[in-house]
Amino acid sequence: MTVRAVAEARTPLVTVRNVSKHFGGITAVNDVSFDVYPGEILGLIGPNGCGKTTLFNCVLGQYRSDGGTVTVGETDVTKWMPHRRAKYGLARTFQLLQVFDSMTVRENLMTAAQPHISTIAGTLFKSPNLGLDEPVDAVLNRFRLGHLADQYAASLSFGQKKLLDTAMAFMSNPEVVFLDEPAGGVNPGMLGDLEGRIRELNTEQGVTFAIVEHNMEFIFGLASRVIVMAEGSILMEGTPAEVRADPRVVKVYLGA
Amino acid sequence: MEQFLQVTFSGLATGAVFAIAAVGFALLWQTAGAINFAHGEFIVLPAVVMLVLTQQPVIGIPEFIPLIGGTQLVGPIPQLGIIAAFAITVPLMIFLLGYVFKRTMVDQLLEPGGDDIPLVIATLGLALVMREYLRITFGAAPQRFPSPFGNHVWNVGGVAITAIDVGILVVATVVIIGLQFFLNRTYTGRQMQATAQNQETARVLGIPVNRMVFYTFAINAALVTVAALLVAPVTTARFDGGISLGLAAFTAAIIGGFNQVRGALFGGFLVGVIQNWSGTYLSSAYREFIPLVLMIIVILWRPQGLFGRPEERVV
Amino acid sequence: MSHRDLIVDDRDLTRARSEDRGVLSPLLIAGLALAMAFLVWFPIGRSEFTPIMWLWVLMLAGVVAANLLIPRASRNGTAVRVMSTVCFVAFLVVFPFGRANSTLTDFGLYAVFSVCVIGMNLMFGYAGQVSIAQAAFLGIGAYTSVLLDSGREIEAFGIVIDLPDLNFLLTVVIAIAVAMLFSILIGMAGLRVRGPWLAFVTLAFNVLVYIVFNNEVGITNGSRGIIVRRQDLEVLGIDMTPLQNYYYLCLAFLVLTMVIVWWIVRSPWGRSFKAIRDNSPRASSLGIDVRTYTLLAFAIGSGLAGGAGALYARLLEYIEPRSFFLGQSFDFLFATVIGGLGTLAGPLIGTSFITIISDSLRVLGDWYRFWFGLLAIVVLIVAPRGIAGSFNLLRARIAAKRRGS
Repeated sequence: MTVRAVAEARTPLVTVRNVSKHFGGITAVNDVSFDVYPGEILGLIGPNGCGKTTLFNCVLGQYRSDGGTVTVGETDVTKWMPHRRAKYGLARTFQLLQVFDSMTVRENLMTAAQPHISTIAGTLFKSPNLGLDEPVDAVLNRFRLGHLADQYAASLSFGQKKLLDTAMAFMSNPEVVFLDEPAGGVNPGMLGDLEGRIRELNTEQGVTFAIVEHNMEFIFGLASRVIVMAEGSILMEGTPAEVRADPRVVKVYLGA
Repeated sequence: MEQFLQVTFSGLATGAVFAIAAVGFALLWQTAGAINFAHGEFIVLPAVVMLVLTQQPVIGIPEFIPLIGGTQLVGPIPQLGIIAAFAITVPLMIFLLGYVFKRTMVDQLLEPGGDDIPLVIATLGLALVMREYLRITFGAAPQRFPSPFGNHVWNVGGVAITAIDVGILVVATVVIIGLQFFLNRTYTGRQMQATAQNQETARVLGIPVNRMVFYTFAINAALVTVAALLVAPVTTARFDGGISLGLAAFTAAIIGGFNQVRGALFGGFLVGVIQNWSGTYLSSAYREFIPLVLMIIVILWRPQGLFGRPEERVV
Repeated sequence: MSHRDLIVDDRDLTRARSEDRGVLSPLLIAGLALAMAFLVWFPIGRSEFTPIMWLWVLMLAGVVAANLLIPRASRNGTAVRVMSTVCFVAFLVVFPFGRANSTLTDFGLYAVFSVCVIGMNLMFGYAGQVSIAQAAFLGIGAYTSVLLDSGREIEAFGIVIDLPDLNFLLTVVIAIAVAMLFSILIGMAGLRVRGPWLAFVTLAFNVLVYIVFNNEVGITNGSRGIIVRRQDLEVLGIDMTPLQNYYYLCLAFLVLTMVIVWWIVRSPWGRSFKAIRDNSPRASSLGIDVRTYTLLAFAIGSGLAGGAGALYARLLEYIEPRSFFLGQSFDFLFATVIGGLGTLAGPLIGTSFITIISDSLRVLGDWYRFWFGLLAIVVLIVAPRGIAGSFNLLRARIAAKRRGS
């Protein structure tokens, strides 16, 4: 994949320029530009309704942006459908937990891996497991889900589903993973686990993360760079320390 | 030219009935989220009931109930005029097609956050049940339905105008104006509109959403009874009339715009006129063809209909 | 309730790992084999319901109980499933042999309609798409196959065309292809929009197709219909004139369909379909091309109905537009729901309600369709997973309780 080659240089993996999104009379995202650099963990914070998730949706294809471009490496993906962007190396999770209830954990992971190892036609005539047992087991181990492999996703606890959701995003060996509020609803005991997992993947495998979060502690502990949004635009960006100290950020949160 | 005027005028008259039917269908969909594929049968049922009431019926236990089915309860009812029959049928339909329908089917199958497919299938089943019941108890032969307006025919510039046509247009206009007035100028009506736009927001604003939803069912039941009174004299009362009536109602609502009353009204008149034009200038078989094709086109290019409000869709 | 409440998977709620699959119990297998052999052999030559039939019913209950109580994930469970499928097919082979034409027609219709319902189950139960046009594809397949096999002359839009007289099996293949072509066209249009819109589009399509069938008298003979005799029909060297031979052809088609769909469902395609059904935005974000897959499911499901149509035409030896109208599409939909969405056995159970059972239950007489419609409503409200689905759910609960979880 082209994206891998770009990861070697310090040019951004993902470039977002002048992206806007309107809903009727409301502007959710207003002329936003930012970059995602290889190997970093980028945090995206802001009060409720500031447009963080909408921005993600534009970058990843769930929404068509009104103007602006999204580039991955050299390729303009602005008009691409979400599944094509996913195949190109951009993975994501959603704010509202989304796993496939009617399949087992193992099958969920296999489903997440399938699109990246074969064409649609190709998968019909090969063996049902497509030789995915090893990669699936590897991910099961990394996320400590092995003992749940054959359980149906519908019967998992919320925290376990969250882990599965994140694990699925990794089955495609993505270059950049966009997490939308990964800490949401996770009990404090498991937060440490989650943080550890993300950090591991970042340092050991060089996975780049862009994370929308509400939980300040969580994101400040992980991110190397943080962007703050308010009312659809970027307010400021900087290191966690800089962001924490900036009076504008405090105001925007207290005022919200 | 005369023929064109004639055809168009009759089309408007039929269209007026479709408009009333379409509005009921659209209201239910928009306010309650209930897509009712038995809507056509909802029109046939009151038509049959009204007809039967004018024929000195005997009231008994429905035949399909084992053992006691078919037993007479109340002796022949004295002869009723069609208007009196209408007056009795309206509250009866509000009960059956409003209250009972809502409680037994809609409430069981519709949940916020769920989707409407189970109700769609269930109303298809309901349509079958109603059709079969009417076929067996009422008979398969279409029956003439008395006109509430008499049968006089005027000739205006070569165009034959029947009393029924005039009656339909007058009643439809009254109903439509009344409905618009109710929805836009009364407090309850505006509450209903708010509920149609967004149930969550309405609830937060203190609107008794459940009651508004029930009112929608009640209004729909009244509207279908009116539609029955208007259309049955023209098309006769028949057990399977619901199929084309229902199709016309959905088609009209979708083409016109199912989330605006205006849209459904326009759609109704449009479908009525187009059906007549197709029937006359193409072939009688293709009456229903063009509106259906139009409906498909509208769904693909502008699902909210010609006059509807666009609804934001998340991928 | 949501659409998803209608679906339960074919397996237990929690599946055991391969180490826990247990051993095959020879006694159980032998006992079941005997019971199943009895089920298939016993009705031979019998047509009246005599009291000794209760023994047969008892055996059936035993087989059903075995399916219910033996955990599906165990080796025994797999054996039971395989044997039950074989028994079912064997019954369909043995029972109609030598019987009256009316019975053969009934079973033939069961086979043909089962294919249609299996197709609907693939579209609706596995990929989540509601189609109210299955009867239209049945009709398209029927007319295509009949016309291409007739060598007749037809008139369309003022042009007179001489139709070829093709080999029957070839017309079946072409019927499937034509049905798939139409469904892809409809699908490309109707599948772009989520929600109930596909239901409306397919509803409209069914009516449009019916209007065309009814009116293009030059091609279809309109409402008079077309008579299709099986004289001179030979398939693989076997004369198809006797209804019995033709029935076995229909049965073969059903079994082939069952195998194909089973294969698709357990392949990666099956997983993609389920992902799209469960959560299509998530599926899309993982790289699954939702549009192409839903189009695929729709095309295959409708294509199957097209093939069934080709067989249907020569089964009844007569086709008319009315057979392909909305009522039939509704029947397929109800059969799918009553049988159980998203299961492999569901369509086979559901179809019996619109063919075999409907013809046997004379006690309900004219009211049969009334009760059938009511059953569909009740199933949706009370047991939305249908018969097979509720059975699976019950089995899963029993297994879970046994495991102590």
